[in-house]
Amino acid sequence: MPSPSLDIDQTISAIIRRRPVLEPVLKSFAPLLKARDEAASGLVPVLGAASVRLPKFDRQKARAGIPLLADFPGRGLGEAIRMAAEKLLPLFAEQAALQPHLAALEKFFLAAAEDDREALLEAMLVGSAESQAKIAEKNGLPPAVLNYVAEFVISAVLRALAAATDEANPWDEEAAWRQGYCPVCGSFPSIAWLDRPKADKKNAFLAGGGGKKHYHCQLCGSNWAFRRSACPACEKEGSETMEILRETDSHGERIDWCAHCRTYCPTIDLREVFDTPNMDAMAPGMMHLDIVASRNRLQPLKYSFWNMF
Amino acid sequence: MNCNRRDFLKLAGASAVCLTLGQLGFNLDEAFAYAGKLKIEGAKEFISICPFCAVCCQVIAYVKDGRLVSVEGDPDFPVNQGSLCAKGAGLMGMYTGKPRLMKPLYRAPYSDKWEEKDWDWTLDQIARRIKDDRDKNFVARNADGKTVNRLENIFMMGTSHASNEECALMHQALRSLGIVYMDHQART
Repeated sequence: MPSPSLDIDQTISAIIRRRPVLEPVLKSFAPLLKARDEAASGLVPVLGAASVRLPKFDRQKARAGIPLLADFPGRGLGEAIRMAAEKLLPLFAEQAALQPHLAALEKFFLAAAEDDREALLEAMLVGSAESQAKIAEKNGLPPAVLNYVAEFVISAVLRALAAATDEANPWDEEAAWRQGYCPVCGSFPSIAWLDRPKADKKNAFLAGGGGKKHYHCQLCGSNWAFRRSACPACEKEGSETMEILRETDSHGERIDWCAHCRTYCPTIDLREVFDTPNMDAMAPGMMHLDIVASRNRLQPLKYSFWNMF
Repeated sequence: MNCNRRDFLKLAGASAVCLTLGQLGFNLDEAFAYAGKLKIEGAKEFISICPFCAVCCQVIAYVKDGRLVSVEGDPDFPVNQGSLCAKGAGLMGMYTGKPRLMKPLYRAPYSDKWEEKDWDWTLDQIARRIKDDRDKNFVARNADGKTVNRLENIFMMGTSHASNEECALMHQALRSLGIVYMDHQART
């Protein structure tokens, strides 16, 4: 993420000032977003002490489109998942829709064998809806409920893992990573941003600049650069591939969608805004454009609770 | 983990089983009403090349209903990395600048007024005057008797908004007439 000048609360306040209609949703989820970040920060030393580290970046594997956590067994993370759940489950308890499932959630995340939790992490990394559903059923939970909670709990662990690296975004060097999915966990992005110019402002001969597209992964919190003219889902590239939809006089907010496969990703153009928002809070804050996209029969790159209608 | 595209698309599908805001008890009627009232505009992205010099900086052009609405440097192109020079940054003006002349204007000798003329009249006048001037002033040989085939009475001043291709055409046309004095700003 470009070092955010606004934290989660400030980002949400700024969105609510512009669009009060989103207040009930954003205010409800702010505590969860903050707690997830806190849980991730708390887990960094725990993972370090347990010598659980993100695999070293391998340029050749990256060129082949293999994310860092491919083949990552998840072993040793069961306790970290439990610790993250311990912080986050009390917040889920405040959501009425989850109350009938709290006992099963607590049993699975806090009391079950580590293997079960690690199996869930593996299923999420592989992207196996079938395995996730089996784990949910085995533990007496509707798959949608387990997946909703896991997106936060597992996310805290993956964020801790991704944060404890020596190098900052090595996949962006020399465009080593050319995929539309996350170089760390393989998940599709939930939001993109176009960066600000880096050119020397004293250079009187150049104008503009910036506009490089970066994606943000809601699951592990990683960011990576991607080509503006290419679709991250179907990989088509070139003129007339990507289109945009934006509110007239919007504040740099738009959705970039592919004319071939009709997937989209909300995007914020940082050149048009003064403050850099927190991307995790900004993604649900662009829900009004998700509704517009849904009406235009577009499909989100990454389904989340705020963009399914 | 078998890392192919299908698996990752499956991942996107996998998260489809997540709870929705509706299932979580949120009433989204107001949000839907708000989104329904938004004035939404769209545009297609085209990759193109700045036509003003040999550097050929790449640009992203936004086109809406067949009309160019915005141009910016392509950040993924290694040469300009999203930047453009002052001329390239003014590329939009080549197509949409309001001060552009859309019809020929003619000012007669000693007149202080511009008159609007049609293209046929204008092109006839230009052709006639160039032909007359060339017939009268063409220099086939210089004072030393060497063949030079040049016309020194006409000077061509091109616009800064002439593209590489337009400049090439103008250059060839003027050279074919023997015109040696010409300048334009199609350069870095």
